[in-house]
Amino acid sequence: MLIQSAKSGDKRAFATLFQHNYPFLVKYLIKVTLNPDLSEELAQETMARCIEKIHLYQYKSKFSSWLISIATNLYIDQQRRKKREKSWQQEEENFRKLKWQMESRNEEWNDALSALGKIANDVRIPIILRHYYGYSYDEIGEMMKLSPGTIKSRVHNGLLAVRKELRLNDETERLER
Amino acid sequence: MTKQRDLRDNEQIDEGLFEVIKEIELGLESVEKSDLVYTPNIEWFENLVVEEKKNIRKKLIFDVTLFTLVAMLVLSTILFALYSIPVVFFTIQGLVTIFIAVYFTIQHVKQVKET
Repeated sequence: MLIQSAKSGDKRAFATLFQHNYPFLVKYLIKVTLNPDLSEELAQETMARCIEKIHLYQYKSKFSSWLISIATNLYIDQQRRKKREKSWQQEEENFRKLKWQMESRNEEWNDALSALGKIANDVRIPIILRHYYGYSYDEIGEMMKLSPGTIKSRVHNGLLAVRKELRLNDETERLER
Repeated sequence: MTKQRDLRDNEQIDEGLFEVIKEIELGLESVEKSDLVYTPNIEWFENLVVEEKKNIRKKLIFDVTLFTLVAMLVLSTILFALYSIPVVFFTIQGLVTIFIAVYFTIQHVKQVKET
């Protein structure tokens, strides 16, 4: 009903839809980017894109899934454009900031998040979509415009990389003691 | 989360990776439960919609204007060439026709060779 009204140009319906989905969208983006500032920026861009493309929404998936599909592609495109200027140190700085923000709110930070932050975006995204949000390989493939086979192998290799990072962290901690 | 667990039950996962998935799940759950996200009021979203619609309209006007100008430029050049310098007009038409024929022949030959 809300989507139908938004499609016919009702700004209040659009605003209500966005307000309902905003926390879900931003939290998804924080998990994927590990950067709260960038997540808010991307969420705004996603909503702008959604206003432009709402006529293309065919009710095949949930509206929230359609939103995160737009957000994922915006993030991948943005990272591709920034690839040259971006460095590993910058990425690490991003998740350190998130870690600090969470710890200052007395919220738990675990090493798996640091390990996720160290793997490539195009590997981190399918892991989160698969093992946190529960999307199928086909659905993730559709979102990321890749074949389900590629997604499956990225998820598997990504999990191996996270496991390696976690073991490294454990060893470092043991040596520090 | 529950959907995630159902999926995991239906999928063969390496035992060693099971712990990793659990750790990832815990980490992401802590982000989910955090109060890092502040949701603005409905007016803020309405303003965003109004502003974005204005931008879309501006972009549309710009694109249509640009398209019309380019179309007029191309059309006037063609008409000018046809009426004032017909030799040049027919030479260009001939060259373009030959180029298209050669291009598609080469493409076709390439495809045949590959198969």
